[in-house]
Amino acid sequence: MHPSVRLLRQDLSSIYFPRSSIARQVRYNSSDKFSERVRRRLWGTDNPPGLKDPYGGQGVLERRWSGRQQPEEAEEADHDVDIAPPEDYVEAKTWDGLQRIGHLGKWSDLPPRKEDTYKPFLPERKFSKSSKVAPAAHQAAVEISMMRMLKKPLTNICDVTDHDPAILEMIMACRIQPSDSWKSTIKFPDQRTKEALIYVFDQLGPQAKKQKAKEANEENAEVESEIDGKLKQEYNTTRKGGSQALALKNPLIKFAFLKRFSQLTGQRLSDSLISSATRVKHLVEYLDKKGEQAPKKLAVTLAESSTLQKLPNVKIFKERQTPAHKDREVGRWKLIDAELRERGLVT
Amino acid sequence: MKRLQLLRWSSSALSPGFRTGSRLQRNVYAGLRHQSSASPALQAENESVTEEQPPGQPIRKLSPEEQRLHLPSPPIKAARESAKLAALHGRLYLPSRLPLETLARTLVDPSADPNPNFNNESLAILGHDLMTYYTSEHLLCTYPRLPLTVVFAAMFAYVGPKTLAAMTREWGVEYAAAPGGEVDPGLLQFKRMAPGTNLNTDTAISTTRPNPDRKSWRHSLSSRIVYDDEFGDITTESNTAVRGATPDQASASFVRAVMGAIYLHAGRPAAKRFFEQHFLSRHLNITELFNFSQPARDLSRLCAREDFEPPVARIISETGRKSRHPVFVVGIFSGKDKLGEGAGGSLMEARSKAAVAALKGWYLYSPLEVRVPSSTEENGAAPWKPVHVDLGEVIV
Repeated sequence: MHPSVRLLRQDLSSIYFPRSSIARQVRYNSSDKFSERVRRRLWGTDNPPGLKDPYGGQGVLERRWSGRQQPEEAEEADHDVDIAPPEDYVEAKTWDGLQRIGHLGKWSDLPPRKEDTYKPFLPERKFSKSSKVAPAAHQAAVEISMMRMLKKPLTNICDVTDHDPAILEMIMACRIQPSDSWKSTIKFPDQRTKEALIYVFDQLGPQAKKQKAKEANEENAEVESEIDGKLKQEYNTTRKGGSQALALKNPLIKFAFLKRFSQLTGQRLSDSLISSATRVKHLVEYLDKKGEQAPKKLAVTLAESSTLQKLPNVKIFKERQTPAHKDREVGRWKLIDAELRERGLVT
Repeated sequence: MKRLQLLRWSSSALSPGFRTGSRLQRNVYAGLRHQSSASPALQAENESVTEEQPPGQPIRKLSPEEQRLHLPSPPIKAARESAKLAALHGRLYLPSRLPLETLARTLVDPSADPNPNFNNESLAILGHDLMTYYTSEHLLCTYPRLPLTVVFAAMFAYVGPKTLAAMTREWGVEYAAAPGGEVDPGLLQFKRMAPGTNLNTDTAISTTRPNPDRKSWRHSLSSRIVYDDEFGDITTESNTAVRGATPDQASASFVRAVMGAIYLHAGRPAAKRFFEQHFLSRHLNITELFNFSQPARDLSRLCAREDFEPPVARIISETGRKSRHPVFVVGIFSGKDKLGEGAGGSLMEARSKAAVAALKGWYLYSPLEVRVPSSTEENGAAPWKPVHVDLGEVIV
């Protein structure tokens, strides 16, 4: 007989269960009678001390097996009890009106939430011309200076995407005294503008801070009102375009300025530019240069190239060439068209 | 000899806008023709072109694209717009005097446009005659003793339709799917045959050959020279305008037309240069064109005709006569002169190889300085000295 066939003939339990556990079970079952009798005789009493089973009881596998079997038995017991349906129970024929379990539909079915709407930080418009980049830099410088003057978090200004035209006019009327530390850099044209701007910028940020700032403002305003004449004199002596000479040394100010500047211009500033720029004018110059070198479409560049136009073996098409153009060029198109018309697929 | 007025001839291949004629002529004919590339003389003959539209019909304005769709072949002005055509002109290093318009015309097969003013038929006929003339004079002057069958085969190998089709492919000329006015003029245009067309139904052109309908009769070599075409084949004529043309036929007529156009526009020297650069430069191993059935007998007949001593085969060396692979080297001698030598596995094989070598040595004789008759056409050329042309092959 072949060894494999011989294996089949054996009792299956001997194959699939470990031999040691079976032996132990046999021993355990038999020990009830024989070993108990021996123990009683040895101790001379009917209740001998010590463990009933000298082998330590059930093994790990047996204990697990018995634990597994018990719940099944319990379930079977439960099934035996017949659960009567309630009296008003009507059996459902379709799934309409049944309670739905799980997710209540697709994401697109749900009403939009706040997180679902995306609003980009950078606006879609991009300024690259110098006529717009320099005013944006000036505006950002004035705003950061104002926030710094009011001792507010500098980046809070980014919450305001667009100013009121009147406010913007006031901001643009301010002048900047270039300084490395950004202290007392802003020069207002008059007291009224100063008060209005302070009032407006005071509205930004949380309420608690706002109160403190207001107090400080009032104090400042009292002092400043006395020297209104000086203010105008200072304003006149400050040269225009001073914002471009501002230094970007302080990392906090630099970060706030870059954030606001990129928000106003809509331009993403590269890491290398950010790390290399030490003054505001570097940024303005870079964007000016970038605006001049705006990349053209390759097709436009090729069409304008006089050297290519002179070449007889080069043809520049005005429109994109598709397989249909190719078919037309080799004369296949009319055959396809005729065949389609013949079959009634094209009218 | 009177000088040919090539410029006047070549103007016939061009449209009025590109002709070199007088201003008056140009003005007269420019009003009449819009699409033609024919000469004024031909114009007068083919008045039907301008009279095609009946006067009573209402004239509907067609867009330029629609107008092109109705044309059988691209209009003349399209030649200047095609990059493919200019590239082909540059790739073939064609003379600048050959305009793109004529090159575009060489790409229009008669099957695409039956109008002889627009297709390449006339140019192809001229080019074919030139090519066969230059090839045959080259073969006869270079190898004056070639048998005629070999001459026919060599002619076919140099300027046969299959070679011309291969050249068209090598030149990078692509086929148009169907001819038409909207097709790029840089593509070879011909009407394709319907699938399953029998190609052997071409009707033989009536020649003076006696009993032309007896196709099973053997055509002797002498009769082929007299009656058949330059490749030794029966001249046939197929109605390509109705039936369409095969790509090989269209390619062949294109290459011939290019040759004719160069001759017409740039003159004979340019045509000859073109022929040498594109046709004679192709390597043809003429020694492989021979097919001897009984070389030893032919050699003995040849020796008898030329009054040589009868050829004798002698073993020059041998090795392994008793082995599985013996090698014999046999030489054929006529008196003391060794005519040829060959090696083979048996004595007979070696002898026949030696005879073949001797025959090839005779037939493939080539003079040291080859001069062809057409070289005397140049200005200041030396007068023609008749070259030696042999009696021909041995006829047993």
